[in-house]
Amino acid sequence: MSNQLSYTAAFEELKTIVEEIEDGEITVDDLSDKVKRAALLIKICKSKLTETEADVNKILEDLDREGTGEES
Amino acid sequence: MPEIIAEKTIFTLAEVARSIQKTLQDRYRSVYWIKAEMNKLNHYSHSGHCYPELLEKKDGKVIAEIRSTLWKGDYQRINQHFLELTKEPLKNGIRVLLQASITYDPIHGLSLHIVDIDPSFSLGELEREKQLSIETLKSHGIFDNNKQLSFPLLPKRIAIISVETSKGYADFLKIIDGNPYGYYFEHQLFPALLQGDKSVSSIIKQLKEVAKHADHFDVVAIIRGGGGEIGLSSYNHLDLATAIATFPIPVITGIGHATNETVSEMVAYKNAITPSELADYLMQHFHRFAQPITNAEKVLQLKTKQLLREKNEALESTIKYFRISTLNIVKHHKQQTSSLLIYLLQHSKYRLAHVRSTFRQNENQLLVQTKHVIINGQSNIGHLAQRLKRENVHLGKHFKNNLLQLKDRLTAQVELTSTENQSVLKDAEHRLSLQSKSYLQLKQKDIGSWERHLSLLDPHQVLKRGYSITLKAGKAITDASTVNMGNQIKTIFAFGEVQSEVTFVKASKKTDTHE
Repeated sequence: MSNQLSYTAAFEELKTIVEEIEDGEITVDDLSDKVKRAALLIKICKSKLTETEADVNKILEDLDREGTGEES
Repeated sequence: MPEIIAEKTIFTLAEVARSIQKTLQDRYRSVYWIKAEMNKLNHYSHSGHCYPELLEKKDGKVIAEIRSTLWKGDYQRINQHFLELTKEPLKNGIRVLLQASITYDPIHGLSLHIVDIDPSFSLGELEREKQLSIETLKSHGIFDNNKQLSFPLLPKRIAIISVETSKGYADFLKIIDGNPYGYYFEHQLFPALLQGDKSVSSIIKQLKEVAKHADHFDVVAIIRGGGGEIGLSSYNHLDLATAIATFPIPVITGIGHATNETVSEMVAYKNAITPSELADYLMQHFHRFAQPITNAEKVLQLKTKQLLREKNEALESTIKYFRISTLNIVKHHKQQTSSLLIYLLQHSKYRLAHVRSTFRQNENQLLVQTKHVIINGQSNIGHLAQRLKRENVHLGKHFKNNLLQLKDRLTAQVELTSTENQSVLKDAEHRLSLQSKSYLQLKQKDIGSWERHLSLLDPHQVLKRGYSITLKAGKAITDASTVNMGNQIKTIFAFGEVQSEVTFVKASKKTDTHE
């Protein structure tokens, strides 16, 4: 699953696809791809809501490093 | 009593002190209302007494300073009044209107003995400071800076400035960590003092710490709770309000009070009254993000099915229409074909009957003519046969005689020719053998003479006579002009050879070589 995609980008793309589908602008040829993509985006967005990330740990490490750096 | 020594009146220090004390007591008999800045409260918790340091400043410079005393009982009463009215305790750095008597103690010197402080005066001062902070922020054009930042779509990573043990912090975490929707917030506590004078520098220090890692956070939440309405004036402090207003990411506050909004809260991106309310505010953002995703899921399922159904129906109806049209066309062609068939049948029958009658007429005619031709032919053949018979008998006899004569002549001729040829052949054979022998002898003689000639021409024989061959690059030299100075040349003798270098060339008919 793509972690490079920010949730803002994922969310915007998802909205676009949903609008296209609602307006019936999608052809049957594209439908399968778009639905697949939308499902992936939903998954990404949902995981962003609930997922644990290591980001905070990284900051803590940074803080620790700075702390020891000042002491020495 | 002063002593008089050598016409000098001499006082002891105690006498001077007592004199000052008496003078002041006589001069300052009542209590006075005095405006001053309480620079330091100097509250001693052990004794409960305070020794406030009172100042007056002008243009930033101290122009007066007097120590003071505030006894335990007075302090408690005054502080109580202060808290009730200003929501602030007596503290360092506030301007006060105090009621005091002027005292002098021989040991402790001059001081003001404070008996009362008017909290309403300080309230006005606090309000004035607050307004000053607001005006300063506005005049610098930074009052709305934090509010104008764009709020992250999902405020997921939160830097919390709070006290670990505070109730507000616990309330906040309870809501965001224990939410029933499974939303996951990442938060990091930056502990700070949130109350009293030291809170300003403490919060600013942690804000700076968060700013170092601003990329890692979506928002900063300043959370205070359980402190009641007391000690909030530090949030009006210009330095703190400036730090919040100019912070690079949105600052949200849950300071926890119901009355007058402080300047810090005014400039923050969002001010929720309580930490719980702040947590709800963040939850709302998650809901706002989650709702469209849930909708998207529904729309995808519904609309995809609908779209497929519509397309399917369209396809079905096209197929139906196609089938009917096809059947119609087939039916139409079938009718045409059958009518054509009937026409063809009728027409064929008619043609057949016509051809048959014509054929019969021809047949009859042919029969009559054939009979006629056969009868003529039979009579002709009869005549011809009789004539042929006669001719055959005559021709047979004549040919037989001619053949016998030819045979006899041929035999005689053959015999004669064979005897003649045999004698000629024998003669030829004899002559051939004689000729060959004489020719061979002649040739052998020739060869002997050639051999002698050749031995004379053999180079080896020539060399034996003292001649030599000079070679350059494997080729015999016949002209000195083809040789240059320094060239390597080879001289071959009858026995052996010499390699030499040319040192002299004279082109003429004669060639000389020197070593």
